[in-house]
Amino acid sequence: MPIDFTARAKGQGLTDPDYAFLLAEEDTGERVAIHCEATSYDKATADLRSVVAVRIRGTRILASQHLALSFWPTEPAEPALARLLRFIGNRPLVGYYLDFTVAMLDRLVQPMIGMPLPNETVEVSSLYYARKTKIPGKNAVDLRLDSILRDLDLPPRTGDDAYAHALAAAMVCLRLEA
Amino acid sequence: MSDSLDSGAFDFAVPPFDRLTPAEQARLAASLDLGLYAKDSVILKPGERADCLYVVMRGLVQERRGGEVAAVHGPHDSFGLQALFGDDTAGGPDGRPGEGGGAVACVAAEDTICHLVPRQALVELARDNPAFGDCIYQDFGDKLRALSSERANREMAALTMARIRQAYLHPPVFVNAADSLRDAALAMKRNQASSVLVREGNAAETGAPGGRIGILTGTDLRDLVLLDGCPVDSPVGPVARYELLTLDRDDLLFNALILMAKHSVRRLVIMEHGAVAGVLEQADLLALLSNHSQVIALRVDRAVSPDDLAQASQDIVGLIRTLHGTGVKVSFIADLVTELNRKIFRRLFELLAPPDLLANSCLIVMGSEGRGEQLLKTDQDNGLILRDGYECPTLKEVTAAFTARLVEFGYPPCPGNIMVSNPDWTRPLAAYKDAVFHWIHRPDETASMNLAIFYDAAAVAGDASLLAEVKGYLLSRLQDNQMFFTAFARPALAFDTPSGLFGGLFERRRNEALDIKKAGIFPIVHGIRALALEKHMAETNTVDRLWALADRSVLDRGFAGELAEAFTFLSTLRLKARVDSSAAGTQTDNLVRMEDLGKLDRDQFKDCLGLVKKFKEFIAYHFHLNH
Repeated sequence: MPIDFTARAKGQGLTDPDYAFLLAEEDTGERVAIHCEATSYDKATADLRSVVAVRIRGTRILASQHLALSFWPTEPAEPALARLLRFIGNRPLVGYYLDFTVAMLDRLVQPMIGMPLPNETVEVSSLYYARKTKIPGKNAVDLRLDSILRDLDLPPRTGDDAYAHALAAAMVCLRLEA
Repeated sequence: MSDSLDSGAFDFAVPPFDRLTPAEQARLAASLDLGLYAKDSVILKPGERADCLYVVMRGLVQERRGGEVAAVHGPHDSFGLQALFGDDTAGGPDGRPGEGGGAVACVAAEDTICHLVPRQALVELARDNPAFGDCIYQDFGDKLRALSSERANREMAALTMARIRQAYLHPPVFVNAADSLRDAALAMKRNQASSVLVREGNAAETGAPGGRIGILTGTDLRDLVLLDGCPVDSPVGPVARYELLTLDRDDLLFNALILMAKHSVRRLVIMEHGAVAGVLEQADLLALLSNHSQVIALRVDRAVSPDDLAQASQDIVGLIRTLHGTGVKVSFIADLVTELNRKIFRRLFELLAPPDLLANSCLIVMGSEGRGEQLLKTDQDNGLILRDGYECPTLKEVTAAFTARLVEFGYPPCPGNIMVSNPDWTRPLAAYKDAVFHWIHRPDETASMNLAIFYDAAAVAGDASLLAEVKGYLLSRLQDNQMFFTAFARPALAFDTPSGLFGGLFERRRNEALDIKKAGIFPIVHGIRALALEKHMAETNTVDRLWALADRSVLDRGFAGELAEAFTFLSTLRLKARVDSSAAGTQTDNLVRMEDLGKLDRDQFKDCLGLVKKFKEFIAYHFHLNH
């Protein structure tokens, strides 16, 4: 079995052996679309309010089994995070503005297990940008999520919540990879 | 664009989902998954079981049966019910996927998004909400029924569309009005006719226009002479009936049937270009209609002796003629003939074999019969797989009688002696496996051919699992051995296909006949067979294999379509040559002469040969045959 050095390097700090599965070789072929809501867009100060994760298996989005978590400043975040970590496991993460979501989670996950999320990440706006810039021309690429959805002939978001964003990101990802 | 279509939400206003209560709608909505399919990707392979019902949200999905688009589903349409609830027994008894089975592939015709309703949720909702359940199951039942009646309708339509021209017409027997009743009776006897036509007017003017024509039947004659006591030398003129019931030769047979029933007569006078062409007898009309495949099938099922089967076997030829004459597609004829031939084989084997042999063996047909492509009675290619350890004391007699009977029915013996009467092809399971091992690992020309025809085998009678086991063994022995496939595929290039430059030369020598089987049909059949074997496919029919290869992206879909069309055209041409020839019924030669073809056929023939050539290049490249 090849040694995954990135995971190993990231895993240096793992303090809780219960979460060793995060570093295992990915074998399900699944991915997880994820999105969060927070009190602001400042990674350093915002408070996490909710996270939604949806598994993607092959060409299917397993919407019926999505995980939705809420966070309250008055309650400890660990039980919810534990559920989330088990749900995503070692699957690659897919999202729109995924850096923000991962950064928000890392702020809570790092103190809990001793390392940030080791998962591979797929930023759908990057996929879209790569697709668009293959076509010659100097037009600026509109990277707003709703514009991407419209351009790819995908249904518009059903709401403004984390679930709608995660679902949209999953669809963009599947459409662009096909 | 409506709101419901624009948002990605599930639309509950569309039947049957409008039957759900709000609570049930919420339950369903919570159980939905999404599927995204790129243009041209296969959503459901033929025969694949589905775990959910697909409801199209956006895009377009085509249900394809072979190359045909059987149905198209747009937004709000649901599909996959058959794959969800259909059971495997819907397939034909011969192991080929039946018409009603899962032979349908669902392909995204555009980028498509589907809501997926899991089986579990659907079954629970159908149970809790009977109105919804009825809708779902009724829809499913309707689809199955529609599929099974489609076939029967096509054939019935073909028969009702048949023209009088296709039925046997008795040549008209004329007598003059002045001739005596005795002369009329003599004319009937001499011509073996049951009626005579009476021509009024001058006897010298044969076929004079304006002269009335009457009819006098054998029954009339009997009544006149025996009952009414007319002298036998009285003239026929005054006693003949002149109100003739006539139809044109190009009229529908169906009209003839109606006319006879309406006037309760047993014969009609058939006209062509204003002159009498002949007499259509009720018996001949019924004989033609009784070529209906169901009548033949019934006769096969009820046969209690091999002699009954012989008659049924003869009738198949008539059926082929009728169907071909009414322009029924050749693939449909092949399906029908395959089914009937296998029925006859099965029944014959059941009649000849003792019950324990039947239970412990599997009768197989190979080659074109296995592929379901023989149109006329071709050489026998059959074999018998015996269960290991089973011994039948009368085996030799049974197999010899089976082969002899088939020859009697008009299926010529196989020149390669691939028949059950040959001990090499009546073997226990283990011996078959040994043979397969030998064919694969010590390939020579016969081994390669045996492997090829065995790969096409289909079970006809007895325990089909025996054949399945040998075939499973065959596929498991085939590693991805490039050398083997190269050798196996090579015969596809064995015969030259004249086209292009050589086609020009060929045309100059028009009188020379071309072997259509070697030049066109065999390269397609064998090339496709090699590709199918390489992909370990279970299909045996060439066109089925073609589409399955297209579904697996081995062949380009467009190319597969063209090939299937070319294959069908070449088969049609071959059938046409055989049906028109006097020796119809058995496959004698496969020669086609360019000068015998119409202009349209000739052009299409050339196109087909060009395509075959292109396919051969593909095969040569794919299997590295040029190195």
